[in-house]
Amino acid sequence: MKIARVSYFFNLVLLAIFGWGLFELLRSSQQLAIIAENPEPPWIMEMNLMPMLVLFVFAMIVAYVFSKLLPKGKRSIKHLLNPFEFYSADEREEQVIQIACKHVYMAMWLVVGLVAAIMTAYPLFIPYFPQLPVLLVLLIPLVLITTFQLTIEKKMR
Amino acid sequence: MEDRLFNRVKELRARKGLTQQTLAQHAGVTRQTIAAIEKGDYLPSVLLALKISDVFDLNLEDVFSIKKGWE
Repeated sequence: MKIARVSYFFNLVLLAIFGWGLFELLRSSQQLAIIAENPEPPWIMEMNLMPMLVLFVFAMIVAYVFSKLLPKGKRSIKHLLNPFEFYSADEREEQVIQIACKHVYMAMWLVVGLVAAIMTAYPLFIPYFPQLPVLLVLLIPLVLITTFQLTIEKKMR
Repeated sequence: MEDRLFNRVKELRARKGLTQQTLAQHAGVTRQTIAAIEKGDYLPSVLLALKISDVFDLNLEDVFSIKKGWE
């Protein structure tokens, strides 16, 4: 339960950093598009590499925290590469994880349908909010991991 | 009307003077799982049911039983 909560929190932070990185990448693509439209030198293109650095540091923190949180005997690279949410102490927790995965599957159909429907309105938002697709795509894992965590919280009480 | 699994885990544990934590350690599960089994919220696997019965030195059917046609 504690591992699942920590894992959920880390997943939220990871999504935020990943989103930040994608926004920076999008900004670079916009600059590249301007250069492509007007290829006469001089060209100037800037890219913020801070999200990559933060992501690297964050990965170190996650690996360290889980190497301490996981029980002895389950701290190998193999276990650290698995999703930490799937760690179960016994068969009941394993069953709860299976139920949570079922709920995530159902939530996937709802959220993907909703995101696809909103995406059809994207041309209206391009001038005001070009980052919309990135935000919408990131909304999918956000809803899915939240569904997973809510099920775990409810069933493991 | 459906069949339900009943168990005497709470009663036998009290009779043996075991805590949920001790029983959980003997059976190799968490304390919460023992609590869930006692409340009837979780149906244990055959393996776990056998392990629990073994802790009480009883046969499986002495600890777990089916009540037919439970409403």
